[in-house]
Amino acid sequence: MADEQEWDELDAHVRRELHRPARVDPTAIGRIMAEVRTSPRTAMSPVRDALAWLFRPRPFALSPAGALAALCVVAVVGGVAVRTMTRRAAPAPTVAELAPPAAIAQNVARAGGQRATQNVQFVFVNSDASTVSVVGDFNDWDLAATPLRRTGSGGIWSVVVPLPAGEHHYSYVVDGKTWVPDASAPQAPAGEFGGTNSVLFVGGRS
Amino acid sequence: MRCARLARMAGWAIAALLGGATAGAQAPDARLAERLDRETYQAVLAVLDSARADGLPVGALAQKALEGASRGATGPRIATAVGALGARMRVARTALGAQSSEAELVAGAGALYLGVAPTTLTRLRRSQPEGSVALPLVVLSDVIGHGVQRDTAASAIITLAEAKVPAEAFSRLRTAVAEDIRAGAAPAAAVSMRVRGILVGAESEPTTRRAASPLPRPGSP
Repeated sequence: MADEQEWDELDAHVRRELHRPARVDPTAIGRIMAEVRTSPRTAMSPVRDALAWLFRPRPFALSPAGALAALCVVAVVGGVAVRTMTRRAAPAPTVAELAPPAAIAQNVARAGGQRATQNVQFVFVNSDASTVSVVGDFNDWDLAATPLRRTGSGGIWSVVVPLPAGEHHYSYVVDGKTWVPDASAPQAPAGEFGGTNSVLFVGGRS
Repeated sequence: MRCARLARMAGWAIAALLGGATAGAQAPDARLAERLDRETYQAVLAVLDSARADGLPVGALAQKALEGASRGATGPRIATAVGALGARMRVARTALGAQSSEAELVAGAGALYLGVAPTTLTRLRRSQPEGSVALPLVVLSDVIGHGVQRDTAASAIITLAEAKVPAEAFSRLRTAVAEDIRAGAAPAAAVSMRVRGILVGAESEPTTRRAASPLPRPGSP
């Protein structure tokens, strides 16, 4: 009981001491600032000055709407930059070897940061055809997008198409109406449309 | 006044951001709108939206619709084909695993279309948990397309996959089996022999072997 009373008194004493305002010499701040002003400034090079200016933290006020708008602008600019980079044209093919009807893939472009692209040569043999085109998931199956050119007089048709890495389904279309799968490539069922398409693997993991 | 202006600017910025960010994703839909009639477009779009909601890749579905349009298929047939492909891709994803690539799902859907059991896809995935099974699945469909029975073809592909043969071996199997069948060999015998050849590393001597012991023709004992 007595210990408890002593403890309470000690506690009250400590509280009083802690609540008592600290006495500060009113001239102290003035003296400190005068000392700072008179002390020699540390010599810094212009480069160090600039670096110090660059890295000195500053208070920064921004409304939520302003922050959102700035974020949007950065995202749009970044998106445009990325899309511009990915639209760069693939280099021209360096191989003109003709083979039996087949798609010949040659890796010609694997630039930093870009998705691997290969120039694929599609070759088709048909001496009776008036027109031949290749359609596939790389040209939205557009009959007019990728016509083959007749090379020589032997009914050999070919075209080179830059394709991104991955699995591609395609078919040849003769005279704009007859779909002919590439006999030398794996065949995949065209499903409910009937017939088959050919499958081509370009680079990388699929 | 100032708040209203700021809010309007933020709205424009958000619209620009969303427009830029989804330009790639919108592109297939825009192409579909150009190539399909309104009803078909709406039906296909519903399939794509459902696939997106399920986390399925939609590129192959959009391409299936475009392929149908180029093949001159009717609107209902296009919508049916896209819906069926989506359904098969879901089954393929269940069988192959959620992390499967779009190529694997498309190849798996193709095999399922030919009647391959989903359990075959699962066994194939188990045999190659790290690598892609797109090529083995495409070869499986191709071999079936050449007249090999589904079970025989599936067994052959799984045997090779479990033996960890390189990817090129599947391509060689496809080419060799197609050649053998064109030359008159029985499909099952062609697959069986070519698989054995690959497993023992003797697939590089088919000419000699064929000359010495020709493959049996269909109908021969």
